Amino acid sequence: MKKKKVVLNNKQSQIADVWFRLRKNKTAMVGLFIIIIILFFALFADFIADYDTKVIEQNPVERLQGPSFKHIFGTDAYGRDLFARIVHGARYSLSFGVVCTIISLIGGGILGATSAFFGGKVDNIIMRILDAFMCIPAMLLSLSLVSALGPGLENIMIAISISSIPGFARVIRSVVLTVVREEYIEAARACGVSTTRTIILHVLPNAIGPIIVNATMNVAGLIMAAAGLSFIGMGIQPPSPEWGAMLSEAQIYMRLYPHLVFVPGLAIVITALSFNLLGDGLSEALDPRMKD
Amino acid sequence: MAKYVVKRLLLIIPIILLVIFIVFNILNITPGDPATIILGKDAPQEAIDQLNKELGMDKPVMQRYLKYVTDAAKLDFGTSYRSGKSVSEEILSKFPTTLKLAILSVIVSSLIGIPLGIVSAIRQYSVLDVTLTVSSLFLASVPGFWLGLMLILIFSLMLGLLPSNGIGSIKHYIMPVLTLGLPSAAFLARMTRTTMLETMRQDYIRTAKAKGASKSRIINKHALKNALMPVITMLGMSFAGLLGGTIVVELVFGMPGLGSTIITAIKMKDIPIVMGSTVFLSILFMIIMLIVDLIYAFIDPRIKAQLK
Repeated sequence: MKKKKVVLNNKQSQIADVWFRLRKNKTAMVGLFIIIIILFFALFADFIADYDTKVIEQNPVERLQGPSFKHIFGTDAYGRDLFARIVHGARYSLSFGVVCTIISLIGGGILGATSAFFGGKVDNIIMRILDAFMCIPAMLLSLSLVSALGPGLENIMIAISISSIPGFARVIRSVVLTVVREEYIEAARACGVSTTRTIILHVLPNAIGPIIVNATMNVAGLIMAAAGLSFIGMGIQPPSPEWGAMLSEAQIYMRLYPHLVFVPGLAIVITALSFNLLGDGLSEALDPRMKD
Repeated sequence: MAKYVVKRLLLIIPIILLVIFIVFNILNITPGDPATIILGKDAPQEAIDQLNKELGMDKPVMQRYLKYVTDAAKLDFGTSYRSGKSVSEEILSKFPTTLKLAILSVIVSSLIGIPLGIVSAIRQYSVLDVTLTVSSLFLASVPGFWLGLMLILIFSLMLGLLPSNGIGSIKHYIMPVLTLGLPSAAFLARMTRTTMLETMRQDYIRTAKAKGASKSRIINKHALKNALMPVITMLGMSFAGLLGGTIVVELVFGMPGLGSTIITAIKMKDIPIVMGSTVFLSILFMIIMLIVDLIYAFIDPRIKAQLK
């Protein structure tokens, strides 16, 4: 049955094939499912809990409550509902993870592909500069960038994106290099297919697999990096409901109210883990050796 | 071989210059001039101007960069804006704590990670193997600061076994080392497993099997040596990564190392300290990777043959 389906959809066969193999991978599907839930929370955060009255407004009467029916995760030191803050925090984490990955994918893609296509001197210059960037520990690079650009959502996003561009450029360069050397690319060229058409129809579909896997895993890394910056106090500032910032605020109450530290951290772990599980599953599903 | 070593050493110099150039320029756009940071906003304008001139701030950026590089070659990274002490003195007094933390973590992570990786590759799809795969993905998703906080919660606040702050005794290092070492061990185990599995698929392993060699002989004599070679590179990488990772861990456990110094310096706009430490750690990273490459060239007969 299933085999027939793959053969019939000839044009979509590659995507259908990957989806079919991914669907068999239970852990990857769990990851995907959780990501969709988090995405749902992030998109409809305003309907779940009002930002001004629930997330920001202080309510001293209800401060430092444990989990209950009214507040399933309890309340923080200012009487704000922890669940509402976690839900709104998903917006920060997802945008840091996903948007910054897309930005660095574009940046790394341009640099890596240019390097691979032109080769020679251009390749050498671009790669040496990227090498230098990669020698600076990522955390330190984004810390210096934030301190230079100043705090604020856009600046933090720029800082985090820049620190992951060199890695992407390297991966994309090596993937494009291997694909360009394949015989089917030579065949396409010999048939007189234009360069743009070759790149879009023949190079990209064959190079995209490893890039998608890397991007998915990168989302997890960036979510943790962004939370780390806020935890240090160089990222999103309280009272904004960023998970790392919430952790750093809650640290002093840890002895008596451990849920304040436990819940935001768990939110980071679950989000990062889901992306890692999906990425791991994708890397297996996209591996041509796993076919049949 | 000697030629190769010299070549690699010479190649590192332009990269060091480039790294300093990048860090110098990033931190140069930090708002506020040094004299205002040192003297405060309320200081008279003449005093600020004069101090800026003394610090060479009236000269063009390139000129200041060249001066910084030539000074750095003499291990002079400038003077802290806040304490007035020399930056290299500050780095050298704080670095031992960070280095100790990183070295202990590397030892712990390789003692746990490498054997686990080998065993789970030999027994692929066993319970141990599956547990390892899942737990390494889990540990890769736990941010260091949260792992640290959870350890403090369990071992200091609930059980009262370990101190949560300071560097007084070896006990103080247990939790920071675990915080850094566990995720790194998971990474190493995963990598060791992959290389070991790949080695077991090689032709020479099949030949050994065909000759009738026992399983333990195949693993000990043929597979391990080849599988562990890429692991050396990963060890180097994870050591370098740990040096960066100490920043947050030192903050969580209140350890007076280089990492917490950098964070304080960034918050207080003490640019010379930030610049000096970043350059120092980046150069250290390069040197570690260079040493790893050289060891690799030295022990891998294939590369050795190429160099001859």
